[in-house]
Amino acid sequence: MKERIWLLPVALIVFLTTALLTVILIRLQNPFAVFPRFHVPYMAFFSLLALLAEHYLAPGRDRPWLTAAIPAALAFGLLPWAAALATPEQALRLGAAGGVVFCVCAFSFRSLQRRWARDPSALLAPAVGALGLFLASQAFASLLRGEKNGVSPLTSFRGYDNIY
Amino acid sequence: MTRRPWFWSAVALAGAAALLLAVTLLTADITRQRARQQHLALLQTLLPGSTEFTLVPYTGSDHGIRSVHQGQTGQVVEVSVQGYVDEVTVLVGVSSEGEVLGLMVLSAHETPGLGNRVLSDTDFLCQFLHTTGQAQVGEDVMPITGATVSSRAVERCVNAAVAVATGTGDVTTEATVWEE
Repeated sequence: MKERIWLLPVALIVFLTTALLTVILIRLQNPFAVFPRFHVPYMAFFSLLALLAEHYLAPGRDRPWLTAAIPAALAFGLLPWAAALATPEQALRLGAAGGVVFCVCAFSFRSLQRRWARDPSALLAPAVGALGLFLASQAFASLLRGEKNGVSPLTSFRGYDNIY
Repeated sequence: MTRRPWFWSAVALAGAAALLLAVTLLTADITRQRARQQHLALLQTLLPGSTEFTLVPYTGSDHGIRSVHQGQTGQVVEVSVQGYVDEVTVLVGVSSEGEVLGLMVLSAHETPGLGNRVLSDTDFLCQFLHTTGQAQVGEDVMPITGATVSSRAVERCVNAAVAVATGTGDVTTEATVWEE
């Protein structure tokens, strides 16, 4: 079977780009919209979404995921910067934090994946597993308090910045 | 010819970044123009009777003061104070007599379902209307249940705005310091 190891980072990039485009369009309509901080749970959400997409689109086990960590870190840093949602400094921190979160999610998801039933009836197992990991990431994030603990949340865009 | 695995990742990343950059640049002017229009409408709502505003440089020592807009009937002050999770930013319209005529929470990233209700809980926010810089959560203002810290952040924003507008800035220069 063809490995298609590019699918994981590409899926992550597609999901992130779609979300950021949505933010840009909402911002266009309502510059004062309050967006949530881009924090650990959101990074985990996009990472797990990409892992799920890869699992369903290209079923296969033991596909290497570490090679996707670099594009993932770049995506978490570069794309918010390109969407004018992060300063270069924030982009660097987001990239580093995003890379780590992606690695943790990918490692955990792959570990679960090896233990799932191999028959086609186990369709929901990956989704439920990903949901559990997402909830765990939320619990972890509640231990952090924004920038005070070194994990830089993405500064929400304020439409009224530099309007005068 | 087979490509290396990273090739498609690099292509996707470059394409996505170029797309986002292009959309951002193309919409920047429209966004800024709309922001300016909505901001003016917001200032006019928060300070009834004023139609034109000028940005006044703030030279005081309160680091929480983000901007001061002078209108014909008073000032609209933007203040940020540390809440429970993050900074709470409030736009407060204060009349020339020092009375709060309007307020709007511009930004808050507090606990969802608890502190973040400061964004939209009109019953809570309306309690600050017509106060004169002495509002105190727990006494004349009922806090949002389970969100006393976030409620007090709004209180400090409002009182700091009144202090700036009435020239008694020293009273609340500690607006950005959270001691509890």
